[in-house]
Amino acid sequence: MITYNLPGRLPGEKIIKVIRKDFFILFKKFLLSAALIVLPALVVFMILSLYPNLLDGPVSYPLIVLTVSGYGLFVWLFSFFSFIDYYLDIWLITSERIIDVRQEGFFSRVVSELKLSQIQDVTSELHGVFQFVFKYGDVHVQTAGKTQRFVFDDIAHPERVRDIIIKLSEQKKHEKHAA
Amino acid sequence: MTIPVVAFLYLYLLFVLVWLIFSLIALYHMIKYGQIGLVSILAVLVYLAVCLAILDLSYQYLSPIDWDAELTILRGGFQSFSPVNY
Repeated sequence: MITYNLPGRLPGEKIIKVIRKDFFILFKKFLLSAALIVLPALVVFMILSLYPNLLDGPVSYPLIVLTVSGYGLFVWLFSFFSFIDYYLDIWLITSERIIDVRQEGFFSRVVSELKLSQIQDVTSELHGVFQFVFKYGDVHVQTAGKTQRFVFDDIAHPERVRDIIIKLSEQKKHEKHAA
Repeated sequence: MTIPVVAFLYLYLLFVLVWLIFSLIALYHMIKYGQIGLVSILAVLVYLAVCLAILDLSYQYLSPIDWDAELTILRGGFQSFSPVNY
């Protein structure tokens, strides 16, 4: 049983799947954060190897400590926000609709939804070596009468998600016609 | 021209204040939208623990510093950051 606080839950609505971006996307963000720590640390290490008396100076020492501390706080906040960006970007497939929740930067959060009965076409895409090897890609959902598509980007196993959406959409349309 | 080293400390404290505001925004997002669960609680706790560790370590390194020192720049024309100062 998946538990999630659905925005505007409909009567009898059940969550079928909760989807986040593929774990590889989080790993790439982690690598970027690691590079932001390791590369400047190497530069500082090299400078201090060349000029060891910098750590003894009454001016240079406080400047080094303040810079390193400020940079450390900045990188840690950047890493945390990278994680939040990953963790709060979510797609929910329910028995009634698809909900797209996106955290965009510090001050923007977008929630959009699409009824399963409106779906006309679902496409899954895998492009490039990384997506092919790590089995992640995009799913595009085309709705009736609209040119704009609903996109699940960089999700794991896009074919499986496409199959789930198609199955649920067909089921919903069948129920609608039977009623 | 001389700049007191304590000016850099004030600049750093200003940065920490801005950083604190953005940290609170980040924590607000995580608590409000992250759904209460093991991952979100763990992420918040790890974030706070590392923040406290960085701030505590910084305090330990900064507390013995003599903040009355001054940085002399542009002494003798454009030879800024004279070697005697560092």
